[in-house]
Amino acid sequence: MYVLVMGAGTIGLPLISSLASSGHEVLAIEPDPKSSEELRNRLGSIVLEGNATSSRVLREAGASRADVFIATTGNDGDNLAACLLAKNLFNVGRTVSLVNLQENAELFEQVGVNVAVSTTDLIVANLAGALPAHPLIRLMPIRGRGLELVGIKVPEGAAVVGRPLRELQVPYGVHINLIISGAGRIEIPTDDTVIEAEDEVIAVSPVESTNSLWETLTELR
Amino acid sequence: MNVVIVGNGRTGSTLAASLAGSGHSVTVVDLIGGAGSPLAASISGPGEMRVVEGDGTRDSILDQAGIRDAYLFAALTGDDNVNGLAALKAKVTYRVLTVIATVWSGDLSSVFESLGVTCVNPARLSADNVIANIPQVLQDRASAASGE
Repeated sequence: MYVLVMGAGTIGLPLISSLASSGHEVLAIEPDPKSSEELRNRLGSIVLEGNATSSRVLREAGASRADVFIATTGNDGDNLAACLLAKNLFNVGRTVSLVNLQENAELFEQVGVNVAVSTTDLIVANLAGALPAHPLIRLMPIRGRGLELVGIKVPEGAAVVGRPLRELQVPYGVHINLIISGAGRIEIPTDDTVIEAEDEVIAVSPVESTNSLWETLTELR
Repeated sequence: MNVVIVGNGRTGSTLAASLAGSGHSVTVVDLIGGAGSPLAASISGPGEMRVVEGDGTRDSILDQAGIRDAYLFAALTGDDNVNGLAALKAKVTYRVLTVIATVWSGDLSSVFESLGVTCVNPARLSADNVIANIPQVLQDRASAASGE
C-alpha cells in the first residue's frame, strides 16, 4: 500500500516507522525543515518537506496513486483541509485523521473523512480501563449511528451472576457480542450462555442506553 | 437573530461595522478580544455589535457568540484552514443558512464550496477590482496589441 502521512511529530513519527517496517510504501509530508531532516537521518529519503494542505505539495507527493492519507498534526483545521484535498482532488480512497479536539470528530466524518481518531477518546478509554474497580470502558464510538462499543466487567456478587443471557433485561438495541471470562476464555454468547463473576461483556450499545446496560450487569444482589 | 463573524482583522471588523451600521446584530469572535478596531468604532448605527474573545472553531465559543440564532456566518481570519473548519462547523453542525469564508487557495475553495460554504478569494477580488478600473481605451489597446 502507498500511504501518505501528514506530520512527523509525536504521533506521525512512530506511525511512519511502524508502517515502513511492516513493508508499506510510506511518504511523510512535514513542513518543518528540522523535523524533516531528523526523519531523513533516521529513516532515509521517505520525507517530503512541505505543507500537505497545499495541492501542489500533494501532487508532488503522488497523492493520486496513494491508497491512504493519514493526517497527524496537532492542528485540526490543517488536518481537515488536507484530508478533504486528498479525498476530493486526488481521489485518495481512504482518509484518516487525528482529531485533537474531541468535539470535532463527528464533523470530520460528516464532511467525508473516513476515520476520525480522537486522542481524547483513546486516552480516556485507556485510563478508565486501568481502574481496579468494575468500570465501563467505552472502547470505540460508532459515529453517525449513535452507537458505541463498550466493555463492562461483571463484579463478584452481581445479580446477573449465574443467570443465562436470555433472562437479562438488557436495554432495547443492545447487542452483546463477546464474553471474555476471568480466565481469559473468549466466547460468542448465545441465549443460554451463563454470566459468571469477572466476565468482561463486550457489547454494541445505543449511546443513551449504555448506562442502563452497565447498571444491569453490575447491580449487586 | 444574529450575524457571527470569526476574525476581527481588517475584513472582519469592516464587515461587522457595515452590518451593524445597517441594523444587523453582529457578534465578532477573535482570539484577541477588545472593543474592535478603530475603524469599526468609527461607524455607528442602529445595530448592536459585540466581541467574544476566543477560538472561533470551538463549540463553546460559537455558542457564546449566539451561532444557534445566526442567519449569517462569516469566517474571515487570515488562515484558510481555520476558516474552513469554522465554516464547515457552522454549516454542517449548526446548520446556519448562509456561510461564507475567505479562502486564498483555489483548490480548497472548490472543496469547501462543494460542502455548502461560499468562498471568497481576497486576491481574486482585488485583482478583478483593479482590472475593472483600467480605462476601457487602455484595455482595448492591450487586446489589439496581443491580437497582432
